[in-house]
Amino acid sequence: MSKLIDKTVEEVVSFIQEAVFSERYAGKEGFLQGLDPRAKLAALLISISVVVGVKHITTLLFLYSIPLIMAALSKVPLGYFVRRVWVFVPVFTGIIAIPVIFNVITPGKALFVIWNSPYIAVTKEGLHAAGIFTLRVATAVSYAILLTITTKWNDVMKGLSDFKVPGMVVTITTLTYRYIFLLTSILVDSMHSRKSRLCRKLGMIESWKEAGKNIGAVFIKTQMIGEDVYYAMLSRGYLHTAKSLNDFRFRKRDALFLALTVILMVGVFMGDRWFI
Amino acid sequence: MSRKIYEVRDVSYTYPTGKTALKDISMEIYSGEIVAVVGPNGAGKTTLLKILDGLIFPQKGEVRFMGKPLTEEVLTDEKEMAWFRSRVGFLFQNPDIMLFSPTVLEDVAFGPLHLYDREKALAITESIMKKLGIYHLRDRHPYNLSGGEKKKASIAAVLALDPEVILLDEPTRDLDLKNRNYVLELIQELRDSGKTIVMATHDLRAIRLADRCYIINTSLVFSGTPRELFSREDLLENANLEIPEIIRLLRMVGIDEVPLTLDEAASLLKERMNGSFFPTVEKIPQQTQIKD
Ligand SMILES: Nc1ncnc2c1ncn2[C@@H]1O[C@H](COP(=O)(O)OP(=O)(O)OP(=O)(O)O)[C@@H](O)[C@H]1O
Ligand SMILES: [Mg+2]
Repeated sequence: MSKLIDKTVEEVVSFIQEAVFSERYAGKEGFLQGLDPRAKLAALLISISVVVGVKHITTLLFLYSIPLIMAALSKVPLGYFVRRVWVFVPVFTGIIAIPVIFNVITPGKALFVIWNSPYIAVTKEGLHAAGIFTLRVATAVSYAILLTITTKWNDVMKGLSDFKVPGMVVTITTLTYRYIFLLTSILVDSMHSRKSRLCRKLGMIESWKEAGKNIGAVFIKTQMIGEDVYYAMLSRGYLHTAKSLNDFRFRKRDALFLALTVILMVGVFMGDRWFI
Repeated sequence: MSRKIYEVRDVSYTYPTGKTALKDISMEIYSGEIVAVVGPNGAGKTTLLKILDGLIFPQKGEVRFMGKPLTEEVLTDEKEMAWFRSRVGFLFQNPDIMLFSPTVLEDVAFGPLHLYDREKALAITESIMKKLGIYHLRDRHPYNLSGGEKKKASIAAVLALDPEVILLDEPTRDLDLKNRNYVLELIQELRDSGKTIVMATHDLRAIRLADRCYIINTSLVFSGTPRELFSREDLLENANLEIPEIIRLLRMVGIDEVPLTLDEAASLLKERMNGSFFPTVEKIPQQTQIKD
């Protein structure tokens, strides 16, 4: 973990760029890459609903294993995939999972006492709840990230358009995606320009201090450029729908994939409710 | 007289920050001409082009495109919008703004895909990329291209729509000599094929290509031909432009005419000086050879 913390701004930003924008595996020939993005989106929706609905840790562990198998079938390296998922998990869980472990939120058998008056302790039930919650989030994030790794961004947007998701939502999502790209690119650029004037390598803490100084300016700059990016899209006839060069055809294997997903997920859900 | 493409009447534009970028600008653009919009940094050139492209709308005054008013209401209609967008292309100054897709091919295809079906869009995209010599870049990420390659990719993105009117914001800035020549030739070619071109520029060579030019500095300072512009020092100063060296040279030897090309300058020189200072003009280069 210390390895992850001990990074300069530049390394962290480059990692985000790689994690969010890499389409390295989307163009490979693999199981999921060969499916229609609409089938994948529908399967994602069904799977996530089940992930959110199940109660037992065994069921969650089983559900967590499915994307791992799919990733292997889709030529996505497991280490790469798992790392990407777990980098995003704390973002979603940290704020919620941490308070849950204490007796204040989850009363129960105290495992160790932190404070005597007022009485604050980590409880067994709290740890269990936080564990389940984290696993649930990690599983849901795994499904979502697997979709984005194995599908080109434009195709995901096109799939959303086809599902009659309102044009404004597609536009905002697309712009957000590009905005983050711009923001991270400009941040790296401005860090580079500072570095070139500094004549020495910055340590980890120094790099964050330096970034803090100009992050406001970077935000303003990105916002201005972001506006022009939208104008450039408008100028070329953008009409709040996503278009893709790829021709989507809903084939037999897409139907089969979707049918199997439904059967599997309904099975898992019923098993979780009535048999475990 | 050829068809009137744009009619701009008393247009003023103030940014939300309160900065007035344009004040009472009037101009006309006719079909098939190259018009240069010149002015110092911050004069409002980019703002004017954005207005001509229907991206922002003036608080005061009126813009007409082919006789129709160009307003926010008109452009919210999808049909009108598609009609207008397929006729007018806008090359932004910064290619990074225009290129936002994962690959160059998808980026160039962005416009056509919004207008045509997939097959036609792909065919158009591929042919324009081949024409500009960037087809080999099709699978590259636009962010990792060189400056010249980015410029070409963004030009391809604009031309892919085959617009009748092309708005260019500083098309030759940041380019090396070869790419600058390439873009200047392309502009001429486009005009010869009947396109109408409006460009904001500081490039003297680009201004020389123009049929007419406007100087703006928030308000309109001058409207006329490049020849008139180059003959008036006060105007060049107003636009923060350098007086071309060849013109300075002719002034120094007492010639007040304004040549637009080197050939013109040479014949002016020959006409005036043959037999007076030098025995023959042809010998000058040999006599004044500079070794470095
Ligand atoms: N988005 C904006 N918000 C506020 N003010 C702006 C904005 N864009 C431009 N301006 C201001 O409006 C004025 C005209 O800007 P514009 O970009 O049109 O100039 P320009 O002639 O294109 O300059 P340059 O030659 O430097 O490209 C400038 O003073 C600029 O600071
Ligand atoms: Mg400008």
